[in-house]
Parts: sequence; structure tokens; C-alpha cells
Amino acid sequence: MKTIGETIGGFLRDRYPGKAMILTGLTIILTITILSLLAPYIAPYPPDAPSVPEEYQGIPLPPSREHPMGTTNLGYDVFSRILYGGRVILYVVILAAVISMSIGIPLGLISGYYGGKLDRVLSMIMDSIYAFPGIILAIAVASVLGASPKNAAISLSVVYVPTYFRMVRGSVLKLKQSLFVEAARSLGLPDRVILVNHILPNVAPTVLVVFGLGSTDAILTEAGLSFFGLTVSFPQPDWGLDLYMGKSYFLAGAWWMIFFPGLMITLLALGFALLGEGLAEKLEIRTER
Amino acid sequence: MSLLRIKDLNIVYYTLSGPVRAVVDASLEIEPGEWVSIVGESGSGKSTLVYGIMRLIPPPGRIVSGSIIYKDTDLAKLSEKELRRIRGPEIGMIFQDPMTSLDPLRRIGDQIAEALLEHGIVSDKEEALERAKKALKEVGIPENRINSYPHQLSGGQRQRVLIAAAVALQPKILIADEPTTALDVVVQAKIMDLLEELKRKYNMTIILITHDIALAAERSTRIVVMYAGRIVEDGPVDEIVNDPKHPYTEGLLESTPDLWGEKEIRSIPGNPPDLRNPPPGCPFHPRCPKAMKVCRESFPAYTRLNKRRVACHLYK
Repeated sequence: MKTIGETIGGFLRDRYPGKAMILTGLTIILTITILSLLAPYIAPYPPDAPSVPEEYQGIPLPPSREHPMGTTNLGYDVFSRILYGGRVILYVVILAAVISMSIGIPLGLISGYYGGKLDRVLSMIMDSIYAFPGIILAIAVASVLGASPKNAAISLSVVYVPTYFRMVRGSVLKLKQSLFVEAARSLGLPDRVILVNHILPNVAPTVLVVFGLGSTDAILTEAGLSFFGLTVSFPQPDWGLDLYMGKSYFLAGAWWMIFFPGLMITLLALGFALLGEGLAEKLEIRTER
Repeated sequence: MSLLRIKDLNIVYYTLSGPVRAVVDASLEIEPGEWVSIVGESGSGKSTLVYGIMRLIPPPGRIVSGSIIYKDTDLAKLSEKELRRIRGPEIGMIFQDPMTSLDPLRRIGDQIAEALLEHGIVSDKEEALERAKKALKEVGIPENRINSYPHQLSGGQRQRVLIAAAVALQPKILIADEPTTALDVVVQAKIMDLLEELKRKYNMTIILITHDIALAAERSTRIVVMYAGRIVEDGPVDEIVNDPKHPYTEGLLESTPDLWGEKEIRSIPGNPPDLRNPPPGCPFHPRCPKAMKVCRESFPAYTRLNKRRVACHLYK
């Protein structure tokens, strides 16, 4: 199955030089991160309370000087919610990456290096998870765990552990054949030293690329979870949730309620895709499987 | 007593297209201080034989039978954990391709120091790095390159680093698997000089794998010729070079160019056999100019001639 991240990456690759992609991606990610970290200082209104007098609540107001991105039907300032909303999605996606890495990398290392029965069992489990459509699996896990950003991160990890596992295992299989690992063994170094000192560092580039492209998918999946109310609940600000809140007002002409959250989700996903694909090109790592 | 005694060793690769007998009934005794060169074409099993000694045969290869006695221990029976004490401090190895034999992401000094620390030869990192410096100096690499990464060194320098890493552990036996194949001729001679010097200094025994019988003749005390997984001739270097008995050894010597052009180069007709399906009897008989009927029927027993042994029906 080709993930969304790989599809975007495939489009970008060969069209733009790796360095430009990395820089653009990093700029997008860092800008969004800084904006959401500085939200308390930049946001003109509180994100979780109406920002207009009571008589205007109930009608979404179009973008204006006071509300650069308009207001929601309940009178919340969209711009403030966008700024604060970035915190949730970044927290969930980064936490998910940390959890998936800390499970996927060690398992991939061990599975690839030792091979045998353990490897076959682990690969089978990971492949069956991998074969599942990501968003559906994430929704299922998140529904069981209950709605919270931490649980959303855990359910994303369930989806992305196999991605790290497969890529790490694949590069370990290749590295294991390399002469420098053989040379290390000929010096009588124990497996622990070979794995930690020689194989792990050489796997790092692959992990970076998987982080970029995997996070692209994770962002879109997180937005999906939020859309179904599985991350935070109203009135907490969150891009996916705001998409859901705005969808009924779109036909009435309040395009700004879904346009801005949607734009931010797309931008952040694009940022990670650019970073991942740029790294893949620079480090000469094939991502298609 | 022999330092290393290989007896009836059989190594088989269980490939998908059938078992490949890479080493067949190999027996070899190596005395301390010898420089033994194992010579043969690609696929003759010479590399597999030494990988077998190191117990580093890649799957699907396996030692099927036989023993490798190193000082009273049978290496063929040791566990991975026990082997770690042999690999390095007892038997060291350097490899064919110096370009890829070093970890590209670690400083060369660290790579040498690492093994010293792991084997408990030194107790702290600083001392290990001191020893690494000394080892580098010994192989002709300036001490200040200790923090270099492999990509900053040339092929010849990298091979020196690998030699330094192996020799720093002061192994009794150093196995060199075509250490100069990937290097140019001038560098090749220098690396060989270095090996010779270190051998003398540390009183090592060297097992050199090469396809170049001229190189072997120049440096070794003894030559072992392998063909299709079998040792066909084995003896002191001057006996083998001046008076080869096995037709294959003769062929190898005749196919070596002579700098003065006084000799006509003749190559051995045909190709080495497919080891999945080797010819019956002596595997060399389809290419052998002196083949007889009996050669097709059985592999000859070894005949002792002076200090050498040869497996050929011509000598009975």
C-alpha cells in the first residue's frame, strides 16, 4: 500500500533538489511550531471562549480587521484557535513519533540482526498491522482508549511502529552483510557492541527519512482522529475538530471556518513531506516498498 | 605441535538451487611462524576455508563435518560467546575490500580502541586511544590521523588501519583474505612489506588468501593450492614454484606473466566447475592435459613427495 506521504514524496522527488526541499520543509515546520508556542502572546482572543458580544454569537462572522480569519458560529476567533490548535497536533504527532521510534527501532534492530523465528513472528505481526488502513486502525484504537491527546498519540503509534520496524529491519539486513560488520565480528566484538556502535548509527539516516514521511501521514491521521472528536473536546482548540465544527456552515457560505484549519493541516503535512523526501534524496535512501 | 590443525573439514552452502560443497575433506596443519598462502581461482573454496576457521561463514553456509583444532580447542564446536575470545586476540583477520571494511561513521581511532576495550586488554578509553595511536604509527599512519573518518583516507591507508586494528590485539594467527586485490600494485607491495614486518615483530603466523601465485611465491614459506573446494597440492614454496607436481599448479604458474617476457603465458583451458554439480573423480580432470581414465573415477589420495603432498593420480 502506498501511503499519502509516499505519494506526495513521489511527486516532489526529482522535481526539486533535496536541499531546497529540506529547507522549505524545515521552514514550514519551524514557523508553525514557533507560532503555536508563542500563541499566548500573539493570539488576539482566548481560543476557548467567545470573542464577540452575545448578540453576534450564533452567526459565523467573515474575516475582518478584528478577526483576520473570521469567527466560528459560536463567536470564537478562528485565528486564535488556529494558533493554539497547532500545539495539539504537534504534541500528538511528536509524541507518536517518539513512541513509535522507541518500539519500532529496537525491534527492527533485533529482528533484522538475529533473524530466525523471532524475526518471522515479529515481521508477520508488523506486516498485518501495516496492511491495515491507518486511519481506521487509529480510530479503532483511539475509541477503545478514550479521547485525549495522549491516547491519540498512542493510537497513532500503533499505526506507525510497523513503518519504523520495517525500514529499520530492512537496513539492518543490508548492513549485516556489510564488510565492516564482518570485520567487527572478526575482532571478537559482542553483538551488543556491533548493534549499538556500528549498526544503529548507520540506521539513523533511514530513521530520519521515516520520521519525515511517517509524520506526514501521522498529521493527516491525527486530523482525522480530531475530526471524529477522538483527540480533544470542544471548546479546546484543534484543527481537526474545527474542521468538523465548520463543515455544517460551509454551504451557508462560512468558508473560513474550514478553510483555515484545512490549510494549516495541509501546510504542516507538506512541511514534513518536504523534509522527509528531501532527506531521502540527500541521503540516497529509497522509500518505496 | 601444530598451532592449527584442520582435519577433514567439509563446508556446504545450502543454496536454493542445491547444496554447494565449497570445502571438501580439507586437512591442513599449520606450524607457528609459518606464512601459508592459499592459492586458487575464484570459487576454489579458499576464502570459505578461512571464514570457516574464523567461524564467520555467512548463511546458508555451514560446517558439516571435520574439526579445526587451535591449541587443543576445536573451533568448530565453540559457541558464539566462546568464539569471541578467539576472534581478535587469538586469530585476527583482514579483508578483501578496505573501502567498506571500516564503519563509515566512526573515527578510526575509536574503531581500533573499541576492540582493545572489549577484550579487556586496556581498562580505560584514554589508554585504549594511546594504544590505537601506537598501532597506527606502527602501520605507518601518522598519529594525528587518529580522529579521521574512513572516507578521509585512501584505500591503502584504510587497509593499514584494518591491519592496525587486527594486530593491536596481538593475534597468534593473522588471516589476510586477498588484502591487496582492491589496491594498486605499488600499494600492494607496501602492504605486503608491512605484513612481513609485523609478522617478524610479533612472531605471528600468517595465512594469506590470494589468487596470485606470484605474490604467494614471493612472500610465503608455504603454498597450498586449492581447486573446487579441495586442497590439491601443499608444500614449501620453493618446491612448489620450481617443480610443481599437480597439473593445476603447473597451469597456475604457466598462466602468470613474467616481467622479462622470457616465458610464454599459457592459460588453463576451460572454467572452474560448477560446485553444485562437480565432475566425478578428480574435479580438475575435464581441464587437465594429463587426464587418465582413473581420474574420472576417483579422487586421488595424497602422495607425499619430499616435504610436499599432492593429490594426483600421476604420482603413486
